[in-house]
Amino acid sequence: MSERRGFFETKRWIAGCALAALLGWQGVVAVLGIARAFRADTHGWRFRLTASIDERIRDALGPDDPAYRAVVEHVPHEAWLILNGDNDDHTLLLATQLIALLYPMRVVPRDVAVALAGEGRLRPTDPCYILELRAETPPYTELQVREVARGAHFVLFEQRIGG
Amino acid sequence: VTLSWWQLLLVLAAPTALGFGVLRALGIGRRSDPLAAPAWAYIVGSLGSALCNLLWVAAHKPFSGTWLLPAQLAAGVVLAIAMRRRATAEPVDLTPTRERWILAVAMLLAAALVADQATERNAQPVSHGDEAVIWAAKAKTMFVAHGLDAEFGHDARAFARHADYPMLNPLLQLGVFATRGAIGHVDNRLPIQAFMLALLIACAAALRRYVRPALAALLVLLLLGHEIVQLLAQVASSDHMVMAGLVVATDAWLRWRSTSQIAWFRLAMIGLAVAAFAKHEGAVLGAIWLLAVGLARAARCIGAIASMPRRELLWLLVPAGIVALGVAMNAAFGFRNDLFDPTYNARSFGDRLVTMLPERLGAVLEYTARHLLFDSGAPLLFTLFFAVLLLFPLRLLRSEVAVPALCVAGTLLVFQLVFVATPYDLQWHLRTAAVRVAMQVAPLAALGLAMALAMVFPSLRARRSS
Repeated sequence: MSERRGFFETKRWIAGCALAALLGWQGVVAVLGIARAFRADTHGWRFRLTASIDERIRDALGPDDPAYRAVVEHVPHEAWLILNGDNDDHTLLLATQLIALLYPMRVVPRDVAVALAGEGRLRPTDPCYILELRAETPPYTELQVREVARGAHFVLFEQRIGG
Repeated sequence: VTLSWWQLLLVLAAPTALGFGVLRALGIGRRSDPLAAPAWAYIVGSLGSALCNLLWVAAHKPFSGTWLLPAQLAAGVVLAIAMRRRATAEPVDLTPTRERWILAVAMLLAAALVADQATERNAQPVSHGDEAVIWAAKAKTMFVAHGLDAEFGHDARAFARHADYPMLNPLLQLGVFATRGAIGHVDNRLPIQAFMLALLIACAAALRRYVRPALAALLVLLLLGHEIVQLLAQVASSDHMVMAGLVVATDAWLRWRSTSQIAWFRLAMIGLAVAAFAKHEGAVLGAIWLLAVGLARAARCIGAIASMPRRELLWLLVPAGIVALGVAMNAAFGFRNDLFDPTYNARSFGDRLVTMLPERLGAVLEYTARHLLFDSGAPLLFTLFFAVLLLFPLRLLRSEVAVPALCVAGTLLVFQLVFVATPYDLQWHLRTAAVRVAMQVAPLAALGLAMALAMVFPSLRARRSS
């Protein structure tokens, strides 16, 4: 019995030393991780606490902010906004951001708009705008469109499907 | 930001006050544990607040949303006053020691880091990632809806990704929109971000019941030093809400076992409900948790405690009811889970699991081992916990440590199987979710580690007055 107890005590002593070393090492890793998190900040406290929502949106959208502003200024809430862009990561991210920021405006990528028109949920009489995000804007000669805003990275058109 | 300062305060005060009222009604007072009580109040009150907000939408918004949170604040205060004479659970019998200041410093550091991470993220609006396309999107559809009608269902299916996900997070964001009277893009993160601080405080309170304050502080730092915890402190995601629910449930269950005071059993059930209302994983973890308790009891790892009135078992209906509510909502509005939706998947989940297991299991286990157990850049809570369990298996698994051990091991195992059967690209799914979802049981691993260390090394035990 005392032999077993002695074995347990020795095992506990060795395990204790090993665990103390492990915990100490892990504590250092944790402190470094916390310090890294503080150091990774990219915005000053003044901006974080006092910036307006517009400034925060501008910060998030960067060079695409004018496109967002143009939509807010020109597109009525009840209208559809069709996004026409390339299939790259940047455009997909911008599409996600615009869909989130402009809700409840119905913002849809072009392929979804085509599908919705096919189902009759996007009707020819619905007010509809196109945000053209491609570098080379097509002439849109086959549609009745009117350019309502233009920026370095976008053109905003008003159109009526089938109009 | 977009809310005034008093409105921001209201967003946090309303669930906290409601939670204090509910805790009082359960039989738990501030003196039951002065450190944990505000955290429990926030976590429990958030569940109450979310249910109130859901009721408000379901009733077709009978009054202005600006009164929603003030009404909850008032209800909490009235409840707390009405129940003030109710007997409360005994406080923890810990002897105050000099090293308490170390835990206090760790808590201040936790608060500073959560505030830093939250405000840094809030420099930008909720506009992409899961917080935008899943959680905020569903909150927005509920805010715009006139009620829980067909139009809401259609809008949620069209706008929100994973519309079937549980509603605690979006309903709390809805409270912010209602207070503001409009959709916002920044301050709707606040009630979710606050969950991280509540989680860390609740976790610290649970840890220091077992180990000395300095060791409890170290274990909190191990959580805080993990980049997933730091990320979750920033975004309006729901993984840390699952963590909070599980920590409250386990801590309260352990308190119930050590004191036989029924109030703790009730709190444990509400903790499980919080986890289940936060994410589907929360319901799965709740089931694993109950299974772990059952297994530990059946294997006589834990003994029986003083019997309680059978009617108290009805509290099990709280988490079960929350799960049933989610199932009913999803069925009513046709919200389907992507893992099981036949329109996304040609084969059933079980079929995919069986056929893909030989091919994928190795890759999944390798990823988990590399990023969860042996990542040199992150604190290795799971590794430490499993190491102590392997060193003293018989001694630890014949005690209450068996419950967090079974729960953590069972959860990691179940999550591996989910990844094996994923309908998505395996590497993409592992990269974006594997560590994050596994971290849902990290606080439980920390608690299990504290319990194990206290059991094996008496010098590390928290000093008790009795």
